Amino acid sequence: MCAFAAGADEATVPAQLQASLLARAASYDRNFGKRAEGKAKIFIVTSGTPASAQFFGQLRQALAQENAVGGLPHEEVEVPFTGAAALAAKVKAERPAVVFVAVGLPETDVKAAVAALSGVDVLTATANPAHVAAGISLGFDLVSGKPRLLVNLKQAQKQSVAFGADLLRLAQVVDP
Amino acid sequence: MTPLMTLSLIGRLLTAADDAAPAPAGGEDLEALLQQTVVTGATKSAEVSSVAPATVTVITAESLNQYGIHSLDEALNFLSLGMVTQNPLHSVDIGARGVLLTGDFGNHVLLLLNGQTLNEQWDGTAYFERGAAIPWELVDHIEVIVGPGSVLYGSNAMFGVINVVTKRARDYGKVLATVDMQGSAPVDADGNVTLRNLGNGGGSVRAALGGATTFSLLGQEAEVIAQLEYFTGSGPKFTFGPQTYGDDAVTQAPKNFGPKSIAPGVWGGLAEQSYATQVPAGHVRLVVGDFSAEVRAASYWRTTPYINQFNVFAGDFDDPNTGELDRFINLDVRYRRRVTSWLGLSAELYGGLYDYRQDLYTSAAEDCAEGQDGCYRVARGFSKWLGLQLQGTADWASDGRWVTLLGVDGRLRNVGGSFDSANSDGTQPIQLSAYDRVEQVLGVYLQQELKPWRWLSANIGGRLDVDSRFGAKLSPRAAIAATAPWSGTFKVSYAEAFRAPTAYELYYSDGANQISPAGLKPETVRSGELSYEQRVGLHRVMIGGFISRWEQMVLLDDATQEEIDAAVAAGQLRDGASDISRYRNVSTIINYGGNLAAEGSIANRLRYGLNVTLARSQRLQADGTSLPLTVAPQLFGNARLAYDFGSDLPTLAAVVFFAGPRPVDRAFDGGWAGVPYAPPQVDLKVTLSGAVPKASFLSYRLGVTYAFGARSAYVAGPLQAGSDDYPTPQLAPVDRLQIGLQLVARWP
Repeated sequence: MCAFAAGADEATVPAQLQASLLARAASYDRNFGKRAEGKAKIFIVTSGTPASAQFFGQLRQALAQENAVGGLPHEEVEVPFTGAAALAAKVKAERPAVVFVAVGLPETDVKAAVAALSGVDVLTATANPAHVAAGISLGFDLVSGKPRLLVNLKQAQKQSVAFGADLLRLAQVVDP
Repeated sequence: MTPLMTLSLIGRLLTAADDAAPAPAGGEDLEALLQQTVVTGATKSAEVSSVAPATVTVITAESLNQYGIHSLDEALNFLSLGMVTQNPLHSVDIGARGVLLTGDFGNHVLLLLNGQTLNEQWDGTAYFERGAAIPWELVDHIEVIVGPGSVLYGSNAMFGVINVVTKRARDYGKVLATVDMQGSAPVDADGNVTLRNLGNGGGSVRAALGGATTFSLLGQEAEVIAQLEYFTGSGPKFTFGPQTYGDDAVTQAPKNFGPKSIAPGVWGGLAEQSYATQVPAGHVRLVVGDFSAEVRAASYWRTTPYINQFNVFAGDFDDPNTGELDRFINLDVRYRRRVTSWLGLSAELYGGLYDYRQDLYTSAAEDCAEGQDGCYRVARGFSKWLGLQLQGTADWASDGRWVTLLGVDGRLRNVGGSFDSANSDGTQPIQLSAYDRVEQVLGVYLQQELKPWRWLSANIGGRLDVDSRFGAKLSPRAAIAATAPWSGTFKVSYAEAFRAPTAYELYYSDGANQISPAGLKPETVRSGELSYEQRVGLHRVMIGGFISRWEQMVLLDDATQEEIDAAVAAGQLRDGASDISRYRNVSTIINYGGNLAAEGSIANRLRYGLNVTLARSQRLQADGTSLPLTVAPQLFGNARLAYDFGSDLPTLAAVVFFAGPRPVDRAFDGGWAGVPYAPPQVDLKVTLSGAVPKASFLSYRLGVTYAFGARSAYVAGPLQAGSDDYPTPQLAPVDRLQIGLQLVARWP
């Protein structure tokens, strides 16, 4: 992503690094293997904006280079966001292991999606740190030029994501 | 036990502490991934530093705090790889990889603030000590990119690029207030710390107030962050000389060094009032969606306590009114938009106002214009500029593998300067030099990034600059990074950079001693480097080599008789003038060497780091011989340790900067007995930092800095050349011992 050699607010965790972090962080979810049932399906939720489309392409390419996510083979599926209820229905029907919310989704839609997915067994993730406070379980931030994991523990528990102390000591727990 | 067995045992011990907590399969290197650094300054896009097409050090705000760093020059010396500064008790000299050019006022390094160039447009000056005037608590991290960087940025990026990135509102806190105090111990005439005459010590204080908030504006996420600060410092009071100068060349009487001189014709004594600095600064940044705007305003006043060959060529001893003042305003407005999944566009409107003034008081006729017994000399410079940079990024497959960056950067600038001499009371001013020019600069740059596979990253690009000062210059770069399956990364790169001649070099003439050249070419550097980086868990080692050739370097040279005659004919010089100087592209420097960096953490408590640079740099002479560069350390680096005691307990950190012996600044043209060298430099900082118990909003930083060396590499005083009475130079003293306390209150 172009960043004009920018301020900290404009630099983001490169997609390849996000993919690597997700692939490894998923291993720390004690329920991941059971949820994935042998193969981790990853929904990448896009908002229809150009930024979202670019992010999808980059993340999909980066994840394709990861041998495993959470120790398991994986596949990525683009899911255009058409509403929280529709997303929740698709998640319940197809049971992905991860729902990754791409950039560009307004916070109101994120909150609606979070509410719709509450109680559903799925790991949600985002590249926008603000969305973690809005209810996404796992996020990636860049602080002082280094990646940082953000975890919304309460929401993660509602979605049967069981991150252990090993991950939590590496992450910043967000309590909205 | 064989060496290999010893290394293997050490490796097992280091990683054993990291593996104390068992991790799920595939997760054991998550912690290592979180230690990777992301840089934006090397390619104008965010990428992991191990594959960036340059050697990069990222210095975090946490490191700046833990290791007691107060300014950019300290950050470079104590925490970076490859860059170094030397302190002559005025603005520091900065160099990299064994090359340092004294008195260049930082114009061989490009200093960026969130990607915006801070080097002013008259002399290309950037300051790196307190005069950088960047409110310190705003700093999120500093990217130190060593090596030629003109491929994307144009002029000045010869040693490298330093990009200071400021914090986001959520990382700053809503309100921040800080006071940072330091005291310097007095030093005696030999430069040793003494507890006598504590009033001869020094002190400084910096107070700052800032705030940040996020909000929503027109449906967009927005934030504003700002900090104002004021720094003032003076002392210690150093003892200089005495140096018996002799007679004034005009009056034929002992030279008058002012009311505080020890005796007529003698320079020196206790400099009580002439080592001081004041820096008020402010910065505000507003971000609304894809739009951002920032303004920085600052001034930098300083006095230098000794005559030297860089900024105080003459003057009364210990005159507090002899000093320099820089004033800056920088403005940057940006808008970026992702147009399609593969195309992004951005526009940046930037500008600045800058002026410089040096006031110099001298009671000596030989330092003044004809007919003046003493005088008040004022040197001025200014620049105003306005620029527009348009940039497009095409991610052709929308997956980050083939990305093209195309940019156009156009700038209009008005630069000028003057040099006046008046009677000591300011009456009867004579203007010796004045110039005022309007200039244009246009840069077009293209960069192609290729990442066809995960393990391979290539970058090729170039920038063409057309500048009314010199014509056109192309700066290419090519780099490849390949990551091996065992997490080692090989990097090879080639890059070129240039520095445009400054307005001062091109246009200054004073009618008596210096004429302006007919033209100057840009200085250029061509550099190749090779490196290997290996990560093992939370530990990283990098080793590399470099070779560079510097050409068309600008130096003050003797004017030929032909040039003098032409200047007289043009009215630039009075008839019969002799001993005339002019700037000329005369010099070539060859340098090569190696870097070593290591860092890591053990058991999440102990962090360590080591950076070493070893180089050989030689300036080629007209007769085919070569000489080392003065003041430029050929062996330098730093080592650090920090231990976090955990929970409510503080962090204890120690860091040392070292530089090997180096020729002093007048080593080869001072006619000394032998070649004088400055002693090795070893500076140690020990810092204790943490939260104040039972006051979580308040944190502290208590630190001690000690310089083991008593002298710097700069010749001090009017005796800048050797003689029978003074066969060796007097070197400038060093602020040996500083103790400081900083308190920071932050809500929430």
